[in-house]
Amino acid sequence: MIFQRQNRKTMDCKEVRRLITLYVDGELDVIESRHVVEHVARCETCYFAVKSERLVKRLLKKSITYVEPPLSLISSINELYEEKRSFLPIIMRFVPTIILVLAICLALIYKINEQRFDNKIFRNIKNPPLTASISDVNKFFSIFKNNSERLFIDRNNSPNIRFVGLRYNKLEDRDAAHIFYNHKGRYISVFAISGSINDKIYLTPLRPFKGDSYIIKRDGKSLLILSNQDISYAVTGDADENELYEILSSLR
Amino acid sequence: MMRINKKREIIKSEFLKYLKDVYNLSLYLTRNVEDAKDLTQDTFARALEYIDSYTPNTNAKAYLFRIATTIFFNNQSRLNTEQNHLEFRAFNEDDGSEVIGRDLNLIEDEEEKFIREYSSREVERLLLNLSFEHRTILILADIEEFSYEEISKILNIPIGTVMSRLSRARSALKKELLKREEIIRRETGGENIIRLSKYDLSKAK
Ligand SMILES: [Zn+2]
Repeated sequence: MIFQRQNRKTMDCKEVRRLITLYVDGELDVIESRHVVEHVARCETCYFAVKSERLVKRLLKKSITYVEPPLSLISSINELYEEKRSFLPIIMRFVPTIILVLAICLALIYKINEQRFDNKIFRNIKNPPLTASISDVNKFFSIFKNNSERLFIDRNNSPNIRFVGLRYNKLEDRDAAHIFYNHKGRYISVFAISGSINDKIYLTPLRPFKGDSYIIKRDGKSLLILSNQDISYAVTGDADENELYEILSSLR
Repeated sequence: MMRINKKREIIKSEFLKYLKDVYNLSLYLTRNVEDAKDLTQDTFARALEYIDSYTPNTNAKAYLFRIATTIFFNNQSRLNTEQNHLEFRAFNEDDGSEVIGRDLNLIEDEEEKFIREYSSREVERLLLNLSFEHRTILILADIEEFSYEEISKILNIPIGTVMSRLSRARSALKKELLKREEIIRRETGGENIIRLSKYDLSKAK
């Protein structure tokens, strides 16, 4: 590889001298080595050159012996390697990443939670409408047209339930109305939501209840859901499940 | 994570096998025990720091030597001076390794005779008197017996430079040996067991 002129049968001293170091170090290929050997057999000067080069190499190899490192060095390096061997520093390295991942997860869960349909409903319950503004009522009628009459539950048909207030809401991309009733002295919230909500993702899994209704329980309160093609209802309040179901049924 | 940990453990034990070699290289580089200890320590610390850049079983010794020589050369060029205090062989004084060739099984050829005339202490001193570039390459090529390619990687120089530097380093050592022979010749009045001058090119016209 290094000796380029392999074609030439013989090499002159100059070329051999250049290859001596390589020859002695075993860096020549078979052909190059043979050329050197052949030349050296005929040329005493180059023979001596090879010999002196090899002598120096062998002298070093034979004379230089390695000593043992001081014990203090051995122990300090072992300590260095041992210390980092413990698990803690490796875990410590991942701490920022773990914290970041946890924070992202929490933020994500919070965000999803925020977005959950049923959570939005539960949040609204804490702040029930005690009156109905004209604009809310107008919006309500324009949105729920055919169903609007029923939602103002007729006092004659249902003497136990009394309309208290109404607020127009938006739940995600849906129009919704939060209607607040007094039922036998206890309060009931009804959410009327435009369209079907069957495709919605709920944080709390929906459990089938009576009929086509579904139930979600939260903090001892029940939320009953009934989804139709054009309108969906969610009912909750200070009543038991069966009473809520009765109210839900009366809205259909 | 467990796998990374295991890989690191394998590499660490691979590195630790060469503590002695790195320390001895450091001795010949720095030429004194204290600096050699520091250099060895620094080398292993750096190797640990960049442990992930090493693939197990890919010549750890050459890898560590590369780190050691790099640290040394960097310090050297920063200090721009070579310390000249030769505190070598404060170690190994009495272990009998000073005189080479006590082994009776050695082949009694000319070269062996020549080699036996030198104590390891003497050769060490001659080696340590060379420039750090020369002693480094001699250690790598003649004592460690790395190939030119490996040396080129360790010292981060082209193979051509390895060849020329090695050739010059051997010449430099030869010169020192001849000088020593000359002194002995003068002291003993000529007739003795000097060999190298016989092969010296200038005399072997
Ligand atoms: Zn010749």
